[in-house]
Amino acid sequence: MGGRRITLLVLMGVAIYGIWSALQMPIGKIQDQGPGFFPLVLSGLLLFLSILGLIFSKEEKEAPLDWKKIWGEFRIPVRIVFLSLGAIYFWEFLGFLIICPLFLFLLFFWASGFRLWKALALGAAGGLIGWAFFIKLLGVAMPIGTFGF
Amino acid sequence: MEFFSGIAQGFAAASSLNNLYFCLIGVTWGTIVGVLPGIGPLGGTVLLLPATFGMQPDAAVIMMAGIYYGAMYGGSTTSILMNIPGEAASVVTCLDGYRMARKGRAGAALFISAWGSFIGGTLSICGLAFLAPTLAKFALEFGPAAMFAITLLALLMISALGRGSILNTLCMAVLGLFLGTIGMDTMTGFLRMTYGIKELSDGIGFIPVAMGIFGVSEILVSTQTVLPTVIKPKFRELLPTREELNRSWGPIFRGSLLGFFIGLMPGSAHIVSSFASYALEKKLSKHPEKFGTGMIEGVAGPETANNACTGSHLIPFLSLGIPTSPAIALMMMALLIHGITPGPLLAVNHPEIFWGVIASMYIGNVILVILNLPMVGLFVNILRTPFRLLFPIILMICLIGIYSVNASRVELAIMLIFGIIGVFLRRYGFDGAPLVMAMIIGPMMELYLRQSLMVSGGNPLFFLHSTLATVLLIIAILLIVGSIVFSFLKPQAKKVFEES
Amino acid sequence: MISVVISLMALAVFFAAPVGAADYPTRAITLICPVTPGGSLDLNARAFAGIAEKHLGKPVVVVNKPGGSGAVGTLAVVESKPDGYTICLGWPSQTAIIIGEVVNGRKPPFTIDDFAILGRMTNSPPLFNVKYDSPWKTMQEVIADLKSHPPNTYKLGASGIYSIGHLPMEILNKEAGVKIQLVPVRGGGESIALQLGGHTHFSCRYPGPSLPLVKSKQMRVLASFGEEKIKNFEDVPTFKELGYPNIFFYSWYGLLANKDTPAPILERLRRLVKEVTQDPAYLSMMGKTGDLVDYADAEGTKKAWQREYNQILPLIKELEIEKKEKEKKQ
Repeated sequence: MGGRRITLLVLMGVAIYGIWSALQMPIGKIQDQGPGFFPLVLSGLLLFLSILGLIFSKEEKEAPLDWKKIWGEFRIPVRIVFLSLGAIYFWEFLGFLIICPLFLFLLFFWASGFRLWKALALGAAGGLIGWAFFIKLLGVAMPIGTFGF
Repeated sequence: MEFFSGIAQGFAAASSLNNLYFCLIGVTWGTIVGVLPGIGPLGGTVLLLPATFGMQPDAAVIMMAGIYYGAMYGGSTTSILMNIPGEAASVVTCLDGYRMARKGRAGAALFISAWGSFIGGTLSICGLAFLAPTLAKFALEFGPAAMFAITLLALLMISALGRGSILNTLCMAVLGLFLGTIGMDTMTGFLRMTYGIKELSDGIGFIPVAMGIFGVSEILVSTQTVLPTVIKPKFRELLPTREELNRSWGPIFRGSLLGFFIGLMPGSAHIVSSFASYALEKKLSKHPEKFGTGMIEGVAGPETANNACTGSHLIPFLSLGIPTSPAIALMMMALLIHGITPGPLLAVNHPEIFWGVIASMYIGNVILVILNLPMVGLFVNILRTPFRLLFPIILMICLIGIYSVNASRVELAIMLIFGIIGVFLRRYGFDGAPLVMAMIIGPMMELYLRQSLMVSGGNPLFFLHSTLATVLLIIAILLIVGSIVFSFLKPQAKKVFEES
Repeated sequence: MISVVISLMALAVFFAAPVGAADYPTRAITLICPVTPGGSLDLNARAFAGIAEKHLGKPVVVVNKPGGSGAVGTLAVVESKPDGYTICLGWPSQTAIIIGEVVNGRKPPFTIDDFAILGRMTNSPPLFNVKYDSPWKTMQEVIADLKSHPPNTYKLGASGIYSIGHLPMEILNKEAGVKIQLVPVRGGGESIALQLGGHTHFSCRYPGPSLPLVKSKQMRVLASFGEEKIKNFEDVPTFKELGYPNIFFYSWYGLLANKDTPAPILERLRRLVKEVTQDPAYLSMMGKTGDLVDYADAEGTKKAWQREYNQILPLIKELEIEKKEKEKKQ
């Protein structure tokens, strides 16, 4: 099964979920639409389009997904995603002044492949510039961590 | 006669050293804010707001206006260089601008973008100066019915944004419309699909989604196999070629006109004008299939249009005292705090403010083009940085930018999730642009439809009250029916459903 | 080795240092504004922050945390550390949030008792606006017209359900026995445009936005929801004078802190509200934007808030029941 068919199936799933969600809400009439009216119409349309897409794509010859190859390709993006999730999770807990250099350092070291000391230096520099530019110069409000800074 | 004396007075006021100084600060700050992803002109104006309390009122409004149109200049920079929309209106510039940068034509794209912005902005201000009183009354015609018709037209234009098959584009558009319904329903206060996550009650913000689908997914995709080295541009390649310049005049001219008229519409006029221009250029082009691979028209038109709407967008405010978007509401507050009442009498009671702002916008555009053109070289040099050094910085800036707007970790997570979704969408032939644009248009469309029905008391022929609405609706229906019929008549109708 | 010990000691001091009231504040205070930037609430917050900085000696940083009609930002202060460095605005939207949940049998995200109230800065009644060239010159004419036409003939634009622009309308509907229909809009600018364009007939607009519109002869103010006459609108009758003593409404802006904030810090913050509302710079700024400065201390604010809660609770309850009846029929 090709990637396109999978995506269309996912879209169909979203559409079915949408229809189910919409039916939980008051629908109303066309002149006095309830909150569920528009989502219902849209999910129905999405369902129709995704089924249409699936029917027509039966005629194509799509190469099946080579999962091993894909996994190999996504090595670095997965690391980036993992680190980003961590950054977001700890964003308010650790505060900007810790997260910024730490996140940068981990990315430089683990995702970019810089050597340890170079990554540390870059992370520290990034944190410093980030603080100077965003906090001091621009005055953007970034979270203060539980440690008080 | 009064007009010329007004303009002369305006230029005199705007050229005072004090006002020039604040104009410079405003446009520079606006450019920075536009370049930085996430923070838009609203956020940028808000950051400088305390400073305006102590300023002269004309200087305050000049500075704030400068931030507003300056952001339109800066937004395209990150769109072209990194596929990150720095500003909502720059999403469309990512489509062809970034492709041009990948082909080594970043300098040309940046140059044309600045140049088009200048022309669009200047023409728009001339339009504002000459036509403000006439157009002000017209702007009030944009009631819910007319706005609904415009959203229908906008939907049509969204379909032009897709690169793949029409079915794929439609799927993305409808998905975007659906995602736009998540959140609190304005008409009933009902929470749709938020599952108790309060941050979602204002909907999935489209800025995190746009930055995720374009910027973050670009980073994720680019780091997939070997970290790529970027084409190092030579100096010669910084400027557009004669051919590129010639091809840009048309889009710039059309973009100016289009942007100016769309600017009269309340709300997110600059977003709509940018992709209206893109859709128009694609339809008029001899090679529409090449859009999305790096066509200069796809940069020249939209960038001009989004600047061209800044002038006309100020008309309801300068002529009637009605703020048409939050950034302008702030300008109004700045005037109020200084004891100046915006309204139809502004031009009469405070001509130095009315004409001063107009004149200073013209000066501001000149300053901006002088600032931006030489910086093209500087910006293009950013591309020389090895990608593995660049992308963590970009990612950090994106996180900071998004958080600086609403202080919400939920939005950061949304950006990341859509970044991942974006990777798979691109792989399998689906485009992010229709999704993002539909997320903006969808809520507007539903709101205006229901408002229209409410105002007319449930009468489905609500648009008949307004000639503008009727005209727009007829155009919209004709165009929609026309394109459906046309695509079936084309000999390759079957191919429409397959991948291109 | 010595350097390690010293740095460890410094670190320990850093983490362990308690914040005494005498030193408060030692760093910037965060003022959470639970709405998007640009609205009048946001501006009030920034005006306050600007003046408060001078009295406090440390910066007061406004952070916008919109969402859920204000629930997100308000919750942030309920969940914050009770150290006095996070405060947020209080205004009737929170009342509506609480009541909205209570009448539907759900637990509200917070209650009035979840806060240490610091004080109130402004208190303004909405004004009933009509377009300048509309047929009504007095409020009595409006009410007569409303009664002689079928319900929902006339429309009123307001941003948000149970918002400070919508609730006065419902109070008017209930007490005067009329039925104006709500047309929800997004933002005050849209409400002005809709009214000027003739798509809606009325609006309940506050003195700040009303003043320029009245001065420029685009709108007329027919009645005030206050209990007394207000500045700049002395010739506008109150509903009380017109024979409807139960029609009143106020939108107020106050400050809230976490309910567990230590008493000395609370005392300083409460004093701050008083100081700012008496500062001539603040008064002059508010005077120009039209919001009425009306300081109330913590006790007074809580009383007024409770009164508002008791006034709005039965109103929203009835409206919600009406809504459910309508939904059952569909």
